[in-house]
Amino acid sequence: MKLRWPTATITACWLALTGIAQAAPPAGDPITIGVIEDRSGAATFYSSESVKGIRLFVDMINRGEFLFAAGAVGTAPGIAGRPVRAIFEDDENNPNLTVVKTRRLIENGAQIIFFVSGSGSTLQGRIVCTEQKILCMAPTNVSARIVQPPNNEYVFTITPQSETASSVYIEAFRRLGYHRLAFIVDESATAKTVADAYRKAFAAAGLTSVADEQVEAGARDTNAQLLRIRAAGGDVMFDLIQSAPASANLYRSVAKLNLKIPRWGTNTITAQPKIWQLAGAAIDGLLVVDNLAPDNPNTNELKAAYRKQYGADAPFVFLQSVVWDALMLIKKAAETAGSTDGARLRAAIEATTDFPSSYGQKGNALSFAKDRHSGAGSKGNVIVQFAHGTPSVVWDVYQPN
Amino acid sequence: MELSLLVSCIETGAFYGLVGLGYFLFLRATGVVNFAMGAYVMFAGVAYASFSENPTTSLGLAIICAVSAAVLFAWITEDGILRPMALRVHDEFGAVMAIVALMFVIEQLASLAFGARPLLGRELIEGTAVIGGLAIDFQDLLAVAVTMAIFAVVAIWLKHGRYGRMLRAVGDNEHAARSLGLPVRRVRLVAVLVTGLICGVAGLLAAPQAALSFQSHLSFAILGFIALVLGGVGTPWAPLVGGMLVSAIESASARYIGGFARDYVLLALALTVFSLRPEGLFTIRVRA
Repeated sequence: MKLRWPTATITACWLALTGIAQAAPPAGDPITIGVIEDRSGAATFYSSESVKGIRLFVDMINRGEFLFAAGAVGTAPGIAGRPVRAIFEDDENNPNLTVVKTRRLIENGAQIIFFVSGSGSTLQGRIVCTEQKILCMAPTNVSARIVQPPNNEYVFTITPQSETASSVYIEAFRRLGYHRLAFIVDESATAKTVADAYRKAFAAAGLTSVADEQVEAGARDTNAQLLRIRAAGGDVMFDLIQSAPASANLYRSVAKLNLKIPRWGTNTITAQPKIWQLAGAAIDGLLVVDNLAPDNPNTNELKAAYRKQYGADAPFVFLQSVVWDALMLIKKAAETAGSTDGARLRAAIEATTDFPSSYGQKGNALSFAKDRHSGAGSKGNVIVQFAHGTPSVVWDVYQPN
Repeated sequence: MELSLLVSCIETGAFYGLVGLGYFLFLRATGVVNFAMGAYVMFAGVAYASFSENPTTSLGLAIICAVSAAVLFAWITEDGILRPMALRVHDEFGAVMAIVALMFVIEQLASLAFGARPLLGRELIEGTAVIGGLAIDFQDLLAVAVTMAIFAVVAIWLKHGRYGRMLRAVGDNEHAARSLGLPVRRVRLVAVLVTGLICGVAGLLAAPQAALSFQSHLSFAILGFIALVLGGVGTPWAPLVGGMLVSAIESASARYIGGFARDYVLLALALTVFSLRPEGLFTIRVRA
């Protein structure tokens, strides 16, 4: 049969376009990302949100769906043509277990490690990263110590550190005329690590601690601690509780006691929708230095993809955003380095600047360097206020940068 | 002490008292201190919290499952451990150790069945009452009311109920009771099942108030035991008095010293009671 020229041309064009639309699926040995999560300890609630993001985004990478990040990482599915898979271990937010579980992930084939448990766990787990020369990402952790020596050579963070966040708090408190702070923490290792960093930063800025209360695990209420805080007469109560039920109990107790002290918290609260659900209206008025801005198009695009999978009402928090950014960075670094070797990946990430991010204010980007393993920039923080039980109001008094 | 703290103290003291009442009844029936009491409460509480987390699960079903579990464990303790051991060898220490082993088995079962993360149960009754400027949850009022009702029913049962009066005889002298023809085995079993029921109710009242996990049983066991030791065994109301005292001291130490001091103060209290008045505040009076 003789093929007419126009028909052949149209057919060829159609075949070419179909070929472009249906890029070859990734093939070959998978690139394995080992994930240290917390399924049972104080970090469970926010670790589980991170894991939901990881599972979805790994699938999206294998399907070649890169959203706004396509400009930076391309559109080829997988990483360097290879499929990606994630394997998981639970360290129970217990730093003593993290090292063992990290080694187990490596024994099971992990070439890259993600830590999405508490900061205390990552501080222990990074020892294995240095020892085994494996690239490690701690996208959700905020402790600045993670990227400080010793054992910081192979670990990177994405979320703005508590030091960066603390400068935002300090400026906010300065504008409001607050000088006396009351801290309230729980017994977890992560709370202690994070609290120490904030105390140090606030003390250096001249802020005084008038109360430092601790809530024990399983506490039925926090009335005694709150009455001590009220008696101490602070300008503001700073919530550093990591456990979702304990945090929710705190706000319920504040409401029951009708305590009028201004309340500020950390992104641990915005990262755990369970707290909002349990606390209900009692959480309204709380101010938090968070990492999601409602007008960031990158955030909104990622949120839409996430909710397409998990439901229109699924809470979308900064944890999913930073996990996405970490995965995109890994893709970019592996394809630039042409390898999953830890040292090469490290060098590739250290050379990365202005990488488009899915969190923070519009235009936020990640930049790294040899002596800068925290990629967060000044636009990574957003101050939000809780209203109607959700962190829905952008604070109009001050925003960083 | 501020009114809010007093209210909190009563709510918590009621819970400790219930656990102490479980110890009291079990001790009267079997002569053994059952350190697995906290595990019965924990399992019931975690089971209720786990089932009630799902908004489509019926609260009634969650309650039945939770309480049934505690009753089942209490029955296993009596018919599966204590009675068989008593038939073979009279060894109180062995019995206590066997119960401690059961306590850890229940702990692990809870971890396997419901996971390890802390769970908060759905409130049985929602809403808040404002009394004297203080907001009190209806759930908390319900917990205290149910606790008082349980103590009243148990006190009446022990004084006037058929099995309650026989339990007093069995508890005072089992051999004499058996010689008089009392159905000792049946009396013990009824008392143990009532203990399980009380622990089940304690667990499901506690679940909406504090996040429970499989590790919660140890603090329940210790605080309930201290409530019993402090109150004594002279009357069924003694554990309630003991529970209120424990809660008051706990709250006062957290309020006036700091949250970190709670465990140290409670330990010091327990040591003081053991040294100075090990029989507790209320003792059994024996006619001369």
